[in-house]
Amino acid sequence: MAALGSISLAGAFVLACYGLIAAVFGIRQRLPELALSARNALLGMFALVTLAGLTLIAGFLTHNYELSYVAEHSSREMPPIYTIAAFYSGQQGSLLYWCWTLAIFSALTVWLSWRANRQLMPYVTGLLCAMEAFFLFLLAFIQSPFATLPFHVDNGNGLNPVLQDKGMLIHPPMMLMGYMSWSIPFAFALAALISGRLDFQWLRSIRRWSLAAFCIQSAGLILGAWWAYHVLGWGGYWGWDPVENAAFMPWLAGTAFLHSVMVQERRGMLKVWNLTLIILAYLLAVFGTFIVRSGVLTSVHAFAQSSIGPYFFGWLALSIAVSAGLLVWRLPRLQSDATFESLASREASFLFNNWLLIGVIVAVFSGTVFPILSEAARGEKITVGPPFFGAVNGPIFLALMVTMGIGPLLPWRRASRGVFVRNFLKPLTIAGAGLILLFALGVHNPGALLGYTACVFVFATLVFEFYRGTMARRRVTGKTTLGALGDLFLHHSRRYGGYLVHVGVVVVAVAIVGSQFYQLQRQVSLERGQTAQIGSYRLTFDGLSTAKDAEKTTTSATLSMADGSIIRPGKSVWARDDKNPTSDIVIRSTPFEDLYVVLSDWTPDSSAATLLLFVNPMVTWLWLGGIIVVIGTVVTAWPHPRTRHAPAVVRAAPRPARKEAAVVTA
Amino acid sequence: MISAKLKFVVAGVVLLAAVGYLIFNSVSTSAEYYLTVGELKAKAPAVYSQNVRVAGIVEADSIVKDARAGTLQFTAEDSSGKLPVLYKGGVVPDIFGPGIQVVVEGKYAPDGTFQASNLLAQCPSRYEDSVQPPASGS
Repeated sequence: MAALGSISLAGAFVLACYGLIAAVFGIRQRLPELALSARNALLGMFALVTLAGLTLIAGFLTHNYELSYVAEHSSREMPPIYTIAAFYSGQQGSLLYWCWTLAIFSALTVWLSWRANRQLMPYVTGLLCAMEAFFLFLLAFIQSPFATLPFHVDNGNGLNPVLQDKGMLIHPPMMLMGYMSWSIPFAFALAALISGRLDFQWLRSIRRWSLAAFCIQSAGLILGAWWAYHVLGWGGYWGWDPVENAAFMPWLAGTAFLHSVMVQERRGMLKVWNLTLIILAYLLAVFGTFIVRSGVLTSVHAFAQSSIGPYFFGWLALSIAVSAGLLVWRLPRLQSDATFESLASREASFLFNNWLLIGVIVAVFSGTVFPILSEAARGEKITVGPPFFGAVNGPIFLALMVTMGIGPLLPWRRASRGVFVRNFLKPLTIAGAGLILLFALGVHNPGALLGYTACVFVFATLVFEFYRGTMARRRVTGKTTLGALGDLFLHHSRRYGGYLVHVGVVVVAVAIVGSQFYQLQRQVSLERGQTAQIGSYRLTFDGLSTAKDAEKTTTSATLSMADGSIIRPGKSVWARDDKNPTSDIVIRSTPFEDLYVVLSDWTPDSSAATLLLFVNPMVTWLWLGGIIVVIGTVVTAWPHPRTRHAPAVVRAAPRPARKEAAVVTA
Repeated sequence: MISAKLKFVVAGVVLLAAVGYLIFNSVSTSAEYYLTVGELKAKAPAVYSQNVRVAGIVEADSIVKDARAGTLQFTAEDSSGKLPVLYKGGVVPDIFGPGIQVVVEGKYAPDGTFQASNLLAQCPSRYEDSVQPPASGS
């Protein structure tokens, strides 16, 4: 089994190298057969990486402890589903997982885009092979998941109990896939730069790929928040931990790109900027993997320091050098077709949105690497914690929200005074009314008040947009209101799917503002029979109970609530791993707040217990908003009905127009 | 009539300045020294009034929990020294225990104890544990 896995990885590495070389020669010698051969090498590599991946899964399922990776991360007692999840719980496995998903995405890319992009695809193939070759080199020669143990063991170490949770099944694979998925747009961007085909073709090709990356990363981030909230027991969902920040930054760059790319499609501007953003998203994804894996920063995720840090650093440096060099080389060909005419225009609002998102990236990045920088500069390690990130990003997020409300209402080029009044009068009035109402309802904290007013404003603009669109559609088609609304999503999926994402972001913002400004937290120590109060909840401690089964011993506190119901927060000590107890947190969700109870400690005689109590307002909205964002992104990326029925016509039609644009550029 | 380009430059500069100010301002209010035990002791008494972070390993047999008072006392040690820590009123990570790498955040008191307001634990040993040969030998 070890041999099969190692050989497939080595074979895949050889094929990836061959694919790269064949692509380069195919392009230079103008030999289409060689380019085709590169494509086949890529598909062969995909097959071999898949074989390696399946081999490792089989190793886990058959408890093949000859493989040290399997022995380190699984045991016979684990349920099969977590045994499979152990695949990506360690370094080698997560590298293989990244490599495998990239192989899948690469194969899909060449399969789906080869015919539409005959000129660009040899470049893309070569670049994808190069990226795969890097990972395969690490996997085959530096950190093999198929390394064997020099001795025999009957059982493995098992997986950390805290990882044996539903979240483990979906968050890490989603997150890693999210990092990985920026590779495809990056490959297209570099391919466009190298080939000099900097027209609209490459942008169109990566629209769905970058939306897919955005979607996967959004889901990964929300799932991570959900998991942390339900498992870790500190009452929060986001802690500005380096690993979280690392995952957040490529998402921000990608979000900026998805917006500014529209300016390029529409007006032929921001060409260098868009390339920079897509390159940045990829670099930040690699940087994220690097800081997670290299141990240069301390994090609660705390992966072991490893030997692959320098390789990632080298890859990062190489990627930066190559991308920057190509960008500078192609600068003369990246002239804007038009100029910004007015601050009050759609393109200007996209530009502000981009600047603000970059501002968040700069803030998060500097805060994350601050200990490294300060140590290098002053010889002292200085950290900045969550208060720093909150203080910097809060105002920027607020400005972003406002931009999100204003942008869609502005026309391209420039807005006249009349447009301004027509589009903004109602939403601004509603926002003003919302402000007064919120104040009257007791929202007095300036941050929360501004945040919620911004939410009201953005939501109002979105409602008006949907209303206007639906009414217009109803007039044209004579359908019912609901039918017309459905039509918006079907026929203008890009625009209204995007709005749906904005709705999701507003819902998320409501959750963040509520839980950041109005969280209640208490630590209480209760004797049996004593009552504690937090918010409107009263909890009486009725005693402790212990339940034991083959896997774990669980101690739970029985707490009766004022409404007569009973909750039992507990702590479980696992038989195989008594050093890593897990908390059984009780979360009572209502639409507007969660009661969150953690059993922290108890006296040996069970007469008293220490509890952590939280009331977290609006957290349910976070999950809801996350779901809406994901659905909205899927709607946006969904193939247009017309393109599905008659792809040939649509593909051919825009050509002449693009030519004109190309002439203008030249 | 001011040109559109100038307006954009001004808007960009204002935005840049605002973000720069935010970062600078927040760093100066929320920056904390991240020290070893030895560095912390060397910085006393100047460090008494500051919030700092200190990393160390929890010394075996040093943990005293009081579930009634809700306090946790332990000694954090590293190669440069030992530090008694008093932690009150907060989340104790599940993996906290002897031999665990912790980061404590709080103030160093003149009586030599560290009054922690935040406790983070790390478990580098666990995610990537190496497999040991069976103890019985074969």
